[in-house]
Amino acid sequence: MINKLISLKEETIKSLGDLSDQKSLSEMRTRVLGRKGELTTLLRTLKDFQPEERSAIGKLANEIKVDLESRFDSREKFFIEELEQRDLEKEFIDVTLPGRRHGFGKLHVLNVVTAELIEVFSGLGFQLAEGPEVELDYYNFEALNIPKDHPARDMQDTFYFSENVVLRTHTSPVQIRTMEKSRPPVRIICPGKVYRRDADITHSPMFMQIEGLWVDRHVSLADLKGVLTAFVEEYFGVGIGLRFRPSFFPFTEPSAEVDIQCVICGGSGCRTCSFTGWLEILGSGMVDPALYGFVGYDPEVYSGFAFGMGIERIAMLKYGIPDIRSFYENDVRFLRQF
Amino acid sequence: MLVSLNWLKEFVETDKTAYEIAEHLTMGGIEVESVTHVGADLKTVFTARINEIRRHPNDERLAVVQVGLRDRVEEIVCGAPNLKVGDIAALAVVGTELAGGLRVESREIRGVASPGMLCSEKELGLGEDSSGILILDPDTSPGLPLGSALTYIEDYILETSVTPNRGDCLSILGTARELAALIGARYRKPAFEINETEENIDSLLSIECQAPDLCPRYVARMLKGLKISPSPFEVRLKLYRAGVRPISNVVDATNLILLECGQPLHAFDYRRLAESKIVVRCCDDGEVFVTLDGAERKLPQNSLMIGDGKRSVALAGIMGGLNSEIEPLTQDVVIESACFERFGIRRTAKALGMSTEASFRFERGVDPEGSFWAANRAAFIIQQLAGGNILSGIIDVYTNPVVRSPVRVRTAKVSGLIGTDFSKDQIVSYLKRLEIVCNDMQSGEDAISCVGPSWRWDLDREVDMIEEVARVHGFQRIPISMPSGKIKPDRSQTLYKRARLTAEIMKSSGFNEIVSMSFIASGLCRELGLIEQDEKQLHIINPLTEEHSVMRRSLIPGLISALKRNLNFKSDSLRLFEIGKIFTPVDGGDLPREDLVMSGITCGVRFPDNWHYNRGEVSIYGKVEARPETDFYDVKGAIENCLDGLGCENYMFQTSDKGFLHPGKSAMLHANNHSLGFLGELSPKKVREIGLTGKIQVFEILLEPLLVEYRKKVVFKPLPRYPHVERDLSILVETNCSGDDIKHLISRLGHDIISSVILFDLYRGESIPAGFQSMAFRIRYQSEDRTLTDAEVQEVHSHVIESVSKRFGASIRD
Repeated sequence: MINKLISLKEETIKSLGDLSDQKSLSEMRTRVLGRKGELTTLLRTLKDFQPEERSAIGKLANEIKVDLESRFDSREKFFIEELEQRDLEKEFIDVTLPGRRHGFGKLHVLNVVTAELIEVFSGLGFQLAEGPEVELDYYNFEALNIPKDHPARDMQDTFYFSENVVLRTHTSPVQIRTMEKSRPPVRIICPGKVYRRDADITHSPMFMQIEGLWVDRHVSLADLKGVLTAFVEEYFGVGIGLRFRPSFFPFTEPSAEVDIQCVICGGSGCRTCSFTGWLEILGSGMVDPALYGFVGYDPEVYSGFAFGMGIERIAMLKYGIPDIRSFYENDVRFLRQF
Repeated sequence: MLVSLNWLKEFVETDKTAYEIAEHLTMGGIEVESVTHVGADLKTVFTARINEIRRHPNDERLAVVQVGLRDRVEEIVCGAPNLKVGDIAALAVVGTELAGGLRVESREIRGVASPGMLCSEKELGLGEDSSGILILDPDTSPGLPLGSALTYIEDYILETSVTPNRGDCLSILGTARELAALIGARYRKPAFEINETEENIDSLLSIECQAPDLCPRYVARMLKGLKISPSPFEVRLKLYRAGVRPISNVVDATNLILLECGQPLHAFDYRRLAESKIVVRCCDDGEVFVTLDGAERKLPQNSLMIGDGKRSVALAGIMGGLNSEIEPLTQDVVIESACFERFGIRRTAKALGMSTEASFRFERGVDPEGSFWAANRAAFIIQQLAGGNILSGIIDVYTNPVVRSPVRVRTAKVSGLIGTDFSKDQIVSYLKRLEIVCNDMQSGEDAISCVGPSWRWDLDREVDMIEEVARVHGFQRIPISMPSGKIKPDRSQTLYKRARLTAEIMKSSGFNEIVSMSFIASGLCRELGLIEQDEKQLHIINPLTEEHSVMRRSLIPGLISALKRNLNFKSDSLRLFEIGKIFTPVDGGDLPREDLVMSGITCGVRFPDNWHYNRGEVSIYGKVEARPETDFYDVKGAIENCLDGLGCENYMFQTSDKGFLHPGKSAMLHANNHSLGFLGELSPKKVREIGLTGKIQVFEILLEPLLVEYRKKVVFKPLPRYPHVERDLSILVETNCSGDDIKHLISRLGHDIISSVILFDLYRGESIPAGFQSMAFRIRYQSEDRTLTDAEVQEVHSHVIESVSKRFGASIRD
């Protein structure tokens, strides 16, 4: 009996090696290990043996069964993998062809830049504030210390709806509206569309601006420099030089224009910076105390700074766009580049 | 303003280069926009004396001119009308490149060799005159390069951009004074001495000022017996380089003084002043006046005029009159050196649309204390240029002398606002450089009493003085610090972020975002049917063009024009959207209502021209199309994505009656019984009217309510724990049957065990009777608390079949 079992094992192992496919393997597995297979058949005669012999034979038979099962399994695995491999070799697609895309649009570059700027200033502690685009002369000019007949009105040629209603020429009216309805500290950033009666390669009658205002106790010109330096480093990169030049705005005193080192030539001089190495990017200053009179703040207690910049200007510098009009032509060949 | 470096250096002692000076001025607040090196390229142009003039043998219009240089003579062919033996001219030798780009060559002109060219001002780039050759002053030595003979020719021109508060820097002297203060150099005003005749001005002229509030000061001087002629070359060049056209010596002298010290002057021909009188007064109502540019102008009310005994002779501070201008035979002149009030001049100039060198300066403030000096300076220069006698005496009507009140400047306030510590001495030393008078306060507090100079009308508050301290100290030297304060959580961006989220969702639905102008042509919205004929629009009084004359009441016109532009450039399948404001006039209100809307437009095919899609796509309506056009459902899907992404619920789409849309392929979006907007296919008639073809989808929805109000509160729902069963229901219904209605009916019949209903097939065409369509719904049955039995599901499903058949006249298909 033992010999029979051993020879069954050896024969099976031998013929396993000769098999060539999964089907014959499966047949052989049934023939040897199936319910009516050779091993089972052999074991049926076990009852004829003495109990002590039975146990030894049974143990051997079981070992042989486990051993053969695992040989069948590994042989079967080999056949499956071999088959898969053959199939893989037949299947081939051109992976260089474009993928299946459903349309994917782009956001307008000015809105993207605005969002980036809001994020930077939000991180510096500013809150967002917005206001109407059609505005009262009072908020757009008077309360910003620009009386009628002031030459500063020439700096901003205005669209009028009536004597006292205008298209806002800057987002500064939002500052007045915000201060009117809240007490310091006021820390706001105001993005939005503004309008001036001007159209050429560097002027669009509608454009976008973002302005900031910070009013609290003990705010100084040094703080303005700090905040704007932090902004330039964050947005244009650490190491970009900037300089503050005295200037004039009716709503700030002292006033400063801020130049950054030309991002195109790095400051050595090129056409973009008119060979000066510097690019003017924003106007700023300490809030003129006259404004506090309009909103009921005490200028002896509070001080603050304000700044504003054109979003197109920032986008033009960031991406090297030469003509402001391209932003509003809405040509998809332009829009899809950003 | 164009500032000549040579001129500037007459008044300030410095060795700094033009570029260093430009840097100092810019960093001090007088921005120098450009520095131009001029007159340096005339190395091959020589001074030459005209020795002899012969007629050209072959052309009577030309002359052969023998000119003498230092040690040689040349014969030059020349056609200029102003040749005169003994004059000193400018000879460009062979190889010279002239201002117009012409290169001087050695060549024969009608048979006579000419090894050079006698040049006009214009050809040398030294003026505008091209009527004849340039004649230099008679004492110029011949044979020298032009630049060595006349050292003032080589120069640097600084173009300054002066802010409206710094009218005092609109002159060479003013710029020099500022530069001197900024770099701590010495500044000197020109010194001169006047020789007067015995005859006194009072016996010849009287001045009456009827409007002292508009004319604080009026100073006049007189000269007699002068001779009008062109100014010498140096004067003409100074004016030319400052951008002022030279005219004749007297007028040039007034312009020279204007540029030198910023005081606008006017010279009247004395003999043309009726009754020997000057009257400063406001114009008559409706008065018409001819200015010396020949223009007839209707004067705005209250314009300040200069009159003589009978009529107006000048538009004060802006331009003289044609009736009293200096003429070639003028001998006696009255020089006006007046200070006019800024706002008055600005009102008149603005109303007339005029801006002159004079009005520009008056609008920005002229120093009333400088008028007297300027009158003397003008008399002196005019006499130098045109001869004649200066009458003794000056008429000076100074009704309201300017008084600058002292300003208290506290040391602590200066340091606090600038953000760095200044000592009192430091502040005083800075302010004194600007000629601000500083005194200790009598109260003994840590402050200074400051009085600004007469030319600085902008220094009447403490903060104005603080700015001056910061400016002279240098903004660059102010340290950097960060403001401190309590930071609050930022809740200000919620709406903004939800609007940008909406844009992101549209972007992932394939739409490109545009930004179009908020103003459009006035007829557009009506023509498109976006507003009714009688609905009001907000009109701009002074639009740039008719195309931009009303505030938009819809974004659709902007989208259409963007679509058309792109189609012109052969981009054919387009999906565009915009988020922006529309403007609706409000009765009785000053300001319009501004609503944030989102609108979009599409045309062309759904999928790009790509290999994946071109094999054909089975349309829900049974046709096979290789390149399916973008349709209603593409747009609706994009909007549904937004509504879903924004967490909006309780909305529905209903049929629309918008006339500009296809009646069968358009809808209104409603939420809580409010209409939020429309979507649909533009009617074929509108498509034709706007000059396009094909199917165009548009939509416009009010965005703000979606961002604010219709926001569902999210509450977690546990995941189903029991399995679901799906049953399909395929029915034949009439084509006007609403799929949404069927779906809602099924859902309502659900007895809590229908968890979803999806329309998964819709078919019209072959094997379906005309006027009918086949619809197939997949109904999912699921309970939250048990596994459903077949019998339970079957009972509800049968009820569904029965109800749908009854309600919609549907027949069940297998």
